[in-house]
Amino acid sequence: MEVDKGKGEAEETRKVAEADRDTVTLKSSDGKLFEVSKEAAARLSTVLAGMIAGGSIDDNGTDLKQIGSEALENVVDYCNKHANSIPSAALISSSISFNTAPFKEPEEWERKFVDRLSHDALFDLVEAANFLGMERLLDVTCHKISEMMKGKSPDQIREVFNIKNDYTKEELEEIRQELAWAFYDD
Amino acid sequence: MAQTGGEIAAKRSKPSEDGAGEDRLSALPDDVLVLILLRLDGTATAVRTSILSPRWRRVWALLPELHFDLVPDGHRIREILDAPEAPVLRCISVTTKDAGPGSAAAWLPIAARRLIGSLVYRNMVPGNDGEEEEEEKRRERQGADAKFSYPVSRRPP
Repeated sequence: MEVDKGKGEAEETRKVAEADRDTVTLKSSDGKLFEVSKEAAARLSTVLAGMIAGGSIDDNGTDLKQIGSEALENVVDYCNKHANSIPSAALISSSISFNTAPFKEPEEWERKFVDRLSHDALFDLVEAANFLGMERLLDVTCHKISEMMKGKSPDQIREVFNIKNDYTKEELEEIRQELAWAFYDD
Repeated sequence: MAQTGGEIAAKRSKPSEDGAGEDRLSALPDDVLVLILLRLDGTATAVRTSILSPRWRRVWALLPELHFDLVPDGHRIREILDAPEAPVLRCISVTTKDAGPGSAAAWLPIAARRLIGSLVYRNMVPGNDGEEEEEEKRRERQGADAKFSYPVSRRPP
């Protein structure tokens, strides 16, 4: 679709039409287009909120060159699901607790949302959430990754995440000594 | 040349057969890794990730919240808080058992400089006579050292 940039009037009309729209169109690195509710995008992503407020949203698809189509689809899906879900009372009250950080536990649908992702899709989504400044989605994805680490030995963690242990024996011994207090109950 | 290319392809395809070959976790930026470490069961668990690989050596040192449950001693805590990369802390909680005043004195001054949030210091002092016994019973009922645990530093099941 061609936008006639030559005519100021047409441009003006386009801008007005865009401001009236209640969705924004996002374009993945591989050129796929996704529509998302403007309200949800602005509420859940500081980066998109900034772009919407600053008028840098492109009606023909705002380029998000860092995000692939699969990850962007998940981002948009998350935004739409979030827009439709009503925060539970438990979610709000769980944030108020003696000396704990205000981490909100993921809601049931959020758990399911990240549980169905493949290993790579999960990490693509973490990166996308981080890039777009989506605090809540970052919380939910990081929570999932922490669950994948919990209760596992260092070797098991290395296996799950393909972490290459390139310490020397001497370095490992040094760390174990320096941080012996953290390893005492191993 | 073709030989080399073939070798590279073979090397690449090998790990992907196991599911995922790339270390996507270690590739994440520090601030995201910190978010993950914060959700593990307590500071000691986060500290133990330092032995995963050199990438993980000092990630835990960036934690903005520290919960020390009986370990380490006051001097170690001071060293941790004094590390050059130690960030501004939004919470520090320290639980000691029957500690003398010197223990807290070792880290309190440096904690005061690092801290913008809450400080919780709890020194468990064995009471005399019946109270201690009562305490012991309560501990037994609650299971292993539940009394000394914070809500955020639960041990792995």
